[in-house]
Amino acid sequence: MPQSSVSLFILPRKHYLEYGSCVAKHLLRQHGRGTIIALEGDEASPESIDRAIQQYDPAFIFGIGHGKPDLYTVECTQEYLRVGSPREELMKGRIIHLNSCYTGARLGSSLVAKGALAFLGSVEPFYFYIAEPPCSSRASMTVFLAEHQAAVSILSGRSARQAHVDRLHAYEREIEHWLTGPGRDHPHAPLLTRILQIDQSIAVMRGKGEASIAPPARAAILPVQMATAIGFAAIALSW
Amino acid sequence: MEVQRGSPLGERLQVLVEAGRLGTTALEEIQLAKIRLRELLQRMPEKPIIATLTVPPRTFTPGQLLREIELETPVGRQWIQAELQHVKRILQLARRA
Repeated sequence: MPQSSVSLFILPRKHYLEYGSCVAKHLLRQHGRGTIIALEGDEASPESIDRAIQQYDPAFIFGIGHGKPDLYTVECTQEYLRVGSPREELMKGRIIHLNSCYTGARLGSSLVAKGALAFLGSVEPFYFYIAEPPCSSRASMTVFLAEHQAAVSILSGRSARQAHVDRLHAYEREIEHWLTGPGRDHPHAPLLTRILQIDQSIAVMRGKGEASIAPPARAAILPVQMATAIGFAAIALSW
Repeated sequence: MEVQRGSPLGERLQVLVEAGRLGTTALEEIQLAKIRLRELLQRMPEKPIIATLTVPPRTFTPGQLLREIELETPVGRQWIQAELQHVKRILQLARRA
């Protein structure tokens, strides 16, 4: 039985993934709940992820990475989840949110068929803005602020369906910011609204919409030494 | 600024706004979306500006993206559909104003 107060965040950096990972960290600092295991950069490897799941048994797994309809990859585009692979069983009983291209098209449904409670993802290519460095501006963060709202909602105890709706609303807020709000004079505001429009339109939720993790107490603590002792460099963030 | 007031494109869009629609045929709507995207992307410097979370990872300059749109590749079609939705959003805003 997965631990409802524990969440795993897979945050690779290479191949432009820092753009999404830094926003996820930013949101975790603001809205993190319960015990969060964050595997960053080189630690976002298949072996470390497997160990973290086995050790901590998280109820919620959030992952950034490059994807295909039947594949999710982690740091250095190493394969992690593939339709039909034994690893799908590891997702049983958990809520999964993959911020990657296409994984909502086949992989998400396959994970749900293998026992994942719910899946959030995207069914087509997911676009983001790279004309400015990661987390240096609202423009470079905008799509991830919207997409990752679903993870923030899950952490606060909202259901998968509610989290999906919250994500769609977050996209609307970001579009409004660039279309008619304070961001409208940014030189690339028209481009940013199009990117947000696309990413919003491809967001999907599969599985049990009512699935949720119990809203955890803010004071749950995972000793950092424990993470170190088991041999992988997890960052334990506790609130 | 989405469309310049008084420009041919602006006047055409104005006619469509007043008629409450984007075009008479799906083909016309696609052409309108392409024109708007061309106007938008041609003004941008030619450097990587967008990336995707695909395998393999991809980046696009405005020119590369425009080629996808002109050729109506899967990526291009995605942008054309988004543009049509975006124009409908603007029309709704215009009606409310």
